Amino acid sequence: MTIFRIISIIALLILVGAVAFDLKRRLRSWKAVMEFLRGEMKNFVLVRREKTVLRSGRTIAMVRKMVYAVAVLCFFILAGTGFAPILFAGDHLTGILLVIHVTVAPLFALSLSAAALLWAHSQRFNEDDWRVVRHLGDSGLREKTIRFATKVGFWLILLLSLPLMLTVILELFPLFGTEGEAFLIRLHGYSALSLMLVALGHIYLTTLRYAK
Amino acid sequence: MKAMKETGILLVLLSLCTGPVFPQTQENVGDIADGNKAIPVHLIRIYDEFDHLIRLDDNPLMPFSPKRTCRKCHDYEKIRVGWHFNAADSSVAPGRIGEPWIYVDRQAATQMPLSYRRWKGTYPPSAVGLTSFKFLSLFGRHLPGGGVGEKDSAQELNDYMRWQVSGNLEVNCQSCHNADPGQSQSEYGVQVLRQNFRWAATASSGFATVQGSAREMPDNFDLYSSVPPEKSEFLPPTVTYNKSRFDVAGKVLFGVPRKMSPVQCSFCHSSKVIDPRQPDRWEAEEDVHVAAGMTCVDCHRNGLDHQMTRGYEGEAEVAGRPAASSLTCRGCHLGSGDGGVPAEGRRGAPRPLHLGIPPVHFDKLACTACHSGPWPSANTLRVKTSRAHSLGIPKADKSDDALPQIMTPVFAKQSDGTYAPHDIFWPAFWASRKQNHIEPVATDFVRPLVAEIFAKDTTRTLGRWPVLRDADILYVLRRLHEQDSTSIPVYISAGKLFQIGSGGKLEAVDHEAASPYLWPVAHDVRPKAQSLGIRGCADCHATDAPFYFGSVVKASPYIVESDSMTRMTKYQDKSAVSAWLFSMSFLFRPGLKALIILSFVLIALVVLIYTMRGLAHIIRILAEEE
Repeated sequence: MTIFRIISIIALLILVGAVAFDLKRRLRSWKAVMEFLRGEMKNFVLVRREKTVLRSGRTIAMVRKMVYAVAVLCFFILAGTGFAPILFAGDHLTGILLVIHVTVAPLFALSLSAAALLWAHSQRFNEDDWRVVRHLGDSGLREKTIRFATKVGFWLILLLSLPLMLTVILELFPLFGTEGEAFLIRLHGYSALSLMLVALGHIYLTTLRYAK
Repeated sequence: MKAMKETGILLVLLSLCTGPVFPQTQENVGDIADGNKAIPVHLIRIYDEFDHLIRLDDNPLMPFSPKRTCRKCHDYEKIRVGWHFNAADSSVAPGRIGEPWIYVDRQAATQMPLSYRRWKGTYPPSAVGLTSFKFLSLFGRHLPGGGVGEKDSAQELNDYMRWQVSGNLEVNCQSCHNADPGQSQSEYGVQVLRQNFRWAATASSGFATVQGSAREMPDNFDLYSSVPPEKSEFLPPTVTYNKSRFDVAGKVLFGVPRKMSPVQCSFCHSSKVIDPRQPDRWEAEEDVHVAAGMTCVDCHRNGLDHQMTRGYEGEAEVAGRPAASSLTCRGCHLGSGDGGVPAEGRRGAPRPLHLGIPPVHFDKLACTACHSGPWPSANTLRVKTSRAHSLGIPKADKSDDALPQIMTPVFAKQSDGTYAPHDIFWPAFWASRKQNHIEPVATDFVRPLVAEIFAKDTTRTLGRWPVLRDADILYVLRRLHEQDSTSIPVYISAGKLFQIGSGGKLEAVDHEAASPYLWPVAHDVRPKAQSLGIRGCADCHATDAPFYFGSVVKASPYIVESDSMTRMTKYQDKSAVSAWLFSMSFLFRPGLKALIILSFVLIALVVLIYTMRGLAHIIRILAEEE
């Protein structure tokens, strides 16, 4: 079992555990947690809201939501195809999964860059965020804290996507030898793992913000 | 206590009587290296199979015996169990699958892979009625002797008299260890085909001539008596030595190099690819290592036990010889990575850069996949090998379509999961089926039946293979059924098992016994500039790249028209659709690359702009506070 596989499994378990316990803390019982998750799954919050936006007729809002939906969808496909063979089989990403991965990756990159253009301004840090930093743990700033965490997540996703894309770009050109290529693959893997953890956290926080 | 003391004194006295104790016996003095790198001169006396010294005035003159002659200084018993001689030894692990002996009977439309090693897909020679004597008479031409050639237990009683006439086929040390320009393995082959087993080594040595044929001698032929009158027109095997090669003391100079030239190995290990791109010999290339001045034994090394290093990945574990791990492609070019003393760079092996090649290739592909064998083309090519096609033997069929039909290269999955180029061969033979067990029928039974078909219809002629129709196959199967009604007669060809189906029609079914036989090939190694991938991913990942989509020709005596080819992916445990989809994705790669680069630039700019803005804000706040 490679170190990367072990780290990935541990990191994912920690994230899933943290989310589960946070939900339990908020909803007080495991039964309520399960119901919450089931409900969110059934009415994928973003898609549901997208319909509302479509009805509202605001083009830019519609584009925003669609970009977000595409990015999230691509993210799950990429995470699934990229990590499934590593986590479950300890094998390289090859065959049909690789085909799906490399086909969806540019779409993800494109939707992420669109998201960067559409949300960067609204996700910039402001006075409220500075207040959250100064009063961390203040229960009165709960909503603002979640919003601040969402912003941090957004910028981290953008930052982590840079090495993620750069490693792929460099790997696709005959610039590096075997060791260099192996290093790039490792870097791609760790960037992807970090991005996946941050993105899952971001999705969780977004879900919390919009959940009733 | 007293008894112990007496025993001790006795032992001391005994050791004094036996003289000084040497670390080695006189017999194997040639096996112990003293570190001197000069090559010992082999000016030696020669002995016959009865260990009698050979003198030029002997009558009759006997052929010299490599076994008796060489064992004066070398441990013959240890050498004779080496890889070249131990195929029939059931205690020896078969090792990685290799080229079989291919038994061809044109008139019986038969080509079968035979081997004494228990490689999956091969049959023991006895399966087609070949005793060890008959096996040697057919294939001994490309064997260095030993094994069944001198193993009494392998010699069948029925052949006893013939063995007495031909003698044993001892290990012919000179097959590999004679640098004399007159050393002729070709002559050795001819002598073996004449069943002159005991004369073969002498005839090939370059300092003797052997005439006559043991094959023509009667069972009661005796070395010391004349030819019986009924065989008087035939010359018995006789040897004439070149007197000028003997010195005054009756010794002969043997040229025994420490390392043999590749030419010597090539006699049995040559292959000729029938490649329309290189129709003539002068257009073909030789192995890049040989071209660089290396010899085969630089990599395929061995010790006194003659356990040749075959050089495949994993051999160190399989053979239990850790040193073998550094004698593979990776071992020399990349290092074995075992943390021991660095072994890479042996013989100046360059370390490959493999620029831009994703590491997954090095886990999924053997080095040979990109670097060895002929450059793949849309269809597999015919290949002729020394052992299968008697290359080097006078009067062997030199035509390009000589039987058996072997095709190359097939990029197939190996047992270790990597893909490597293979030679492929489709077994074709008549057999009887009981349940799921297939028992080949001796071709002696079938040959007359096929001959009958062609005798009845004089308009038909035997081609390279007899051109068989459905009705012909059915006819032979029915006749075989008449001879043995306890089993189902079948014919195997082109990857199918044919039997009499419902309604008396010929029925083709799949069966493991009909599977093609593949063995990995590692040579000739092409130069870096001619390796797969040198022109980019499309060398293998184009939608029509031979690596995945090449057609493997089912070269067989009988082929169903609609089923004469298979795709390369069949041998890779891969779906042709997924391979095609994967290759298709390469068509869009340049566009996808551009999209990712564009996205990278956009995101980098956004991050940079807002970082700058944040920084500007911080600077402004700091300035205001001041």
